[in-house]
Amino acid sequence: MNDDEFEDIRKLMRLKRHETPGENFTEDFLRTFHQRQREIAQRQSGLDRFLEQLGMKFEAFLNPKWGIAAAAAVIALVALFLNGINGAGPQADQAAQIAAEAKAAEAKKKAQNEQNTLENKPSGIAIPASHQEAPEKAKDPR
Amino acid sequence: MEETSLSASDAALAPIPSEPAPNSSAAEDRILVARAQNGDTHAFDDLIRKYTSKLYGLVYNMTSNREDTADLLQEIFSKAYRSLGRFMGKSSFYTWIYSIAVNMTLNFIKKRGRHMKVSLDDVDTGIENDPDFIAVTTAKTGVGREVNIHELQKRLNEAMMKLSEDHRTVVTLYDIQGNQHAEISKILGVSEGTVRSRLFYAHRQLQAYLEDFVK
Repeated sequence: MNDDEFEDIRKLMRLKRHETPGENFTEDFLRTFHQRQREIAQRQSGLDRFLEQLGMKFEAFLNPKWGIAAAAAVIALVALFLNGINGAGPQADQAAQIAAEAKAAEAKKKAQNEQNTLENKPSGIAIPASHQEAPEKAKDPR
Repeated sequence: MEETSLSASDAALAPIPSEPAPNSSAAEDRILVARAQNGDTHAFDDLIRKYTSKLYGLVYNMTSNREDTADLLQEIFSKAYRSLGRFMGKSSFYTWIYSIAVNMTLNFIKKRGRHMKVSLDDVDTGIENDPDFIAVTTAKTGVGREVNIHELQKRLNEAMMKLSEDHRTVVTLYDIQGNQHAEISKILGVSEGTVRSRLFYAHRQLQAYLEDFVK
């Protein structure tokens, strides 16, 4: 496969170099270019210029290489986020369970303390000594 | 199938350069670019003067419409002017502005779709003395055959328009503009093998379309 066999075709295509826009084209083109640039500058507000500059900066991210990197970063962030949610679930449950157990234990302890207190503390109603049960020994008929 | 690399048997076959070698004035471009980046608008004017003709040829041969070419060329230089601050010189200015021109032209062709209107430039009188013209029309096709230049121009453009955009681009850059494979590879961002492959298939198609001129 070489171009020798197409040499005639290449000669034909080279003839297209003779199609030209005319001698004055470049200077006319340059004048039009200056005019257009002036019009653009007049038309553009500061905000337009800022947005255009911003757009040109972000144009770089349209590069597939950057696009892939950005997509990978987003996927990694989402994965981390989801992992964080799933990972926090059992831990949170465990913490709540521990707290509940601690609370229950505290309540039980408090209840026990109260009961002990009631048992040890004399009643607020005074019982006359005569109504009080005699000790076992006193009941002995001997 | 088309994108496969070809053997290097045609590697040494370079186009006959009609333009100065791209790198011959790279140093001059670097100076003009540096001045333009520092706000010297005359330096950018010099770059426009230098590249208008080359880029015109590129866009015109890809679109086959002179009005579209002039408009598109304005947009190409306008974009280059606005982007010049970000041009870091990693490639030559030649490669950079050619890449902009090729991409914008391909986008334009895609948007235009099938609504194509041909509007051709005049053929300069120099064609009659061009050795290629003489070789193709007289020596090769036989004495006495009259070739109408305008008919030939029409046929060449029709043949170009039958090619895919990718094939038309390489034919324009290589056969018509005289760029080397390596330079085309940089401009298009594809391998040299791909450039050679596209050229091979494009030439084969052109040969079929233009067989009565090359017999």
